[in-house]
Amino acid sequence: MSSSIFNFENFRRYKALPGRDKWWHASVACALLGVSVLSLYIPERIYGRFGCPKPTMATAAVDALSPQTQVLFLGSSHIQWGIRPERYSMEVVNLSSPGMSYACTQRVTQKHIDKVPNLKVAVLEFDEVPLIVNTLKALNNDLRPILELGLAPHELPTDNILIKLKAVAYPILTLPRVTPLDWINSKAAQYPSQHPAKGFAPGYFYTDQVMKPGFKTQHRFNEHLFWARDAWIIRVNLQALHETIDFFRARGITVVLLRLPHHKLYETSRPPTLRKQVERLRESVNSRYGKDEKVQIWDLGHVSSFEDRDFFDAEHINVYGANKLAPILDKKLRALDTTFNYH
Amino acid sequence: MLFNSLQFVIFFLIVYSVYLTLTHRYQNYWLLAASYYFYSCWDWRFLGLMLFSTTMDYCFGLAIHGSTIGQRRKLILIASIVANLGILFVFKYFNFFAHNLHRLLDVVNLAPDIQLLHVLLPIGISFYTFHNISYIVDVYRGNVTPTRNFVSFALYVALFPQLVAGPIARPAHLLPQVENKRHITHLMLREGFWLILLGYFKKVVLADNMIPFTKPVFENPDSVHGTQILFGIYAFAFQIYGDFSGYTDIARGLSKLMGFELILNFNRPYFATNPVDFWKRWHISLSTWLRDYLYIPLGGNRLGTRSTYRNLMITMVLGGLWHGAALHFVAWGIFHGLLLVAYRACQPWRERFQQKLQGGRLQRSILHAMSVVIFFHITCFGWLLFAVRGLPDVPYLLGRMFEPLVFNGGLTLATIAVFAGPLLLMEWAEEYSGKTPIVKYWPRPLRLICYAAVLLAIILCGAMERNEFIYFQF
Repeated sequence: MSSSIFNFENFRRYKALPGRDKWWHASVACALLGVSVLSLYIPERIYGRFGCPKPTMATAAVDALSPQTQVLFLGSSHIQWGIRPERYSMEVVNLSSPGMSYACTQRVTQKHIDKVPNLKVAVLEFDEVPLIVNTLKALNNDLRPILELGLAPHELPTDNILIKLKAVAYPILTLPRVTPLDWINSKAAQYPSQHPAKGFAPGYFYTDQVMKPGFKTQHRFNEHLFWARDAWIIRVNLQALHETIDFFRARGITVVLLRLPHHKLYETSRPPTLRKQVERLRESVNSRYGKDEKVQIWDLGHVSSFEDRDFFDAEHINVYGANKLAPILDKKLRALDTTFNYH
Repeated sequence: MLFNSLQFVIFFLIVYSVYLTLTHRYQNYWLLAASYYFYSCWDWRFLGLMLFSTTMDYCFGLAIHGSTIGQRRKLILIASIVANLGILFVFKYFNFFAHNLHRLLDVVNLAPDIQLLHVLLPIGISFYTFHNISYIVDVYRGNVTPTRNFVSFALYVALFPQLVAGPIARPAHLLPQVENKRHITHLMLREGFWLILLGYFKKVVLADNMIPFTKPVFENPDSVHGTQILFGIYAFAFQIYGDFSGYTDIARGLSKLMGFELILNFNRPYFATNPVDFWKRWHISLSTWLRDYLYIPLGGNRLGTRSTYRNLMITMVLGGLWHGAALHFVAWGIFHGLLLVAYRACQPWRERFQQKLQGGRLQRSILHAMSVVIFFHITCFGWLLFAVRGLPDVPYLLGRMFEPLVFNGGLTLATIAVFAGPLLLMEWAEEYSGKTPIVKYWPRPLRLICYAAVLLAIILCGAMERNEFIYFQF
């Protein structure tokens, strides 16, 4: 092609190079590509699959899924901090992750449903977080909490090719670097859920810290309000919730939508926008599943028996709260299904 | 848009793909548009200032060339230099001078009420101002014929690989490359790729991995003591070298891929044996700029010993100030000025000493190695002046280094050994074989292993936090 704008002389000159040179260039390109692919596996070899040598809470939870599993809890950190599986009288697995949206919950459910053929009840979080959050954005570059739940990069709930590439390259983007400093500090680089000091149960985050007096909720609300601005994500998450409920119901599994206890400070100071989101969620579920007895909403957000001592912060209960919650939920679950096999 | 960001990689791939398909004229248009986009990614408002400065010097260049009256030519030259330095002064130095003047006059209760300017420092302003000044001066001296093509001149000023941190281009070198058709040779591609790879290694592996060790020393001196401080200064020496020469290597590599040859900016500076040698190896484009446009016009070494010393000191102090509007940069300039003066003053004694040593090759090699090590430590003292928050930190850090005298900071030393070691080894091989880059002379399989090892190091060891290049602030 000849014009005053375009000129392909550079390409022609390259084409005219001896075949030997071109083979050499191809070999260099292949070798460098090979090195790039190989480099994805080296940090995992050094620091462990997810940056720690032992199973993490989430990988342990996935491993705990079995034909004996009867109740599955799915949700964000509220569920992760609030449900102690070993405190329940039936076989319970807590399959939660920080900032898990309904879209992620759907993918996790689809991924693992075959491992729990005898599942009787699926408990999904009923709160604003799974509705408004874009998990993949919220986790920023560290997609480990979602990948630990067994999702492969191509299974992430996004069409964004960059995020999928980030997930593929997570060992080099999020695991510690291969340097003397990072090697020595590799333990500190793990996030809290990866080195549980005590009370370790698959999927449960143990903490006995109590909410400090004068705790401020504003920062958290600002974060929620920021997420709540994305109407498209809310639509996607709502759609995913409906599809997840349908998915469970099609298998004869009872669905419970559970809102965990929140501190009165949280309930009283929650901005109207966020309050509305939960109401919208309630209306949506009621209008679609109102007649289905096997889809229930359990709103424990205002349970009065929870005191300051039971909270880690305004929205997460600590181990005392989780211990208090377990018998309440256990009783409700027993009432829901009489065919449970008890421990 | 940092070189070490995914955004830049995508940007360059797009720019380069299109660039390869265009004719020379449109290549220049395309590169200018890309360079302005690249620059506006920091802050589009800075673009206005650069455009103003470019237009002004384009006109001044033509005016000088068009005038045959010596007095008038000189007047235009002075106007241009004053305008360029005026812009630089307002944006970079006004607050520094106003603040220090205020402090000085406050001692005698005469402090005037000076309003400080609340302006951002446009990125790369020192670099492109020097580009422009060298153009105007070279036109005045008749070393360069000014271009009538505004796009060519604008591209000479703004060519994106060298726009924000150099190397400081010379019109006689770069302008013909902009104006004439460029040929991308096989060798240029090969060297370009290697320079890019090496540059990224220096930046993300060497420089950025030193930050955890240098930050506590220079930003929080209370938190460190003992040899940790000494090793922290060593780490800074490699951080600034990796950072700046890494940037230059990437800039030169990218330019080579596009058919441009930028000037060499670093030539194994830590193998220098004396201050003169150091300045022939470190930031060569700045040191030669200062030599040609400041030291020699001041009289250089033609006016006697005392004038030579004075000229050296003026040049180095201004060179220090070029790096930033702060007293510790001035002190760094004074330190290097004094080194050059002392080195010159000791010349007869050195010559006698060298004559005595003639003969023993081993003896000379040992002496050479010792000179390298000693001068590296002298340079490191200079880096201490350069990197501190303020001058009071210098005696404080030196005091804490020796009291209590403890050996700590082994991890710093290990990190330097792991990352700077291979680079120094390669530079040593280049230094003594006289082959640069030495990789070019290796057989293909060895070259391939080297490329792969460098890439692996970048991916596995490189800090992925996208740290800015230190010299962007200058």
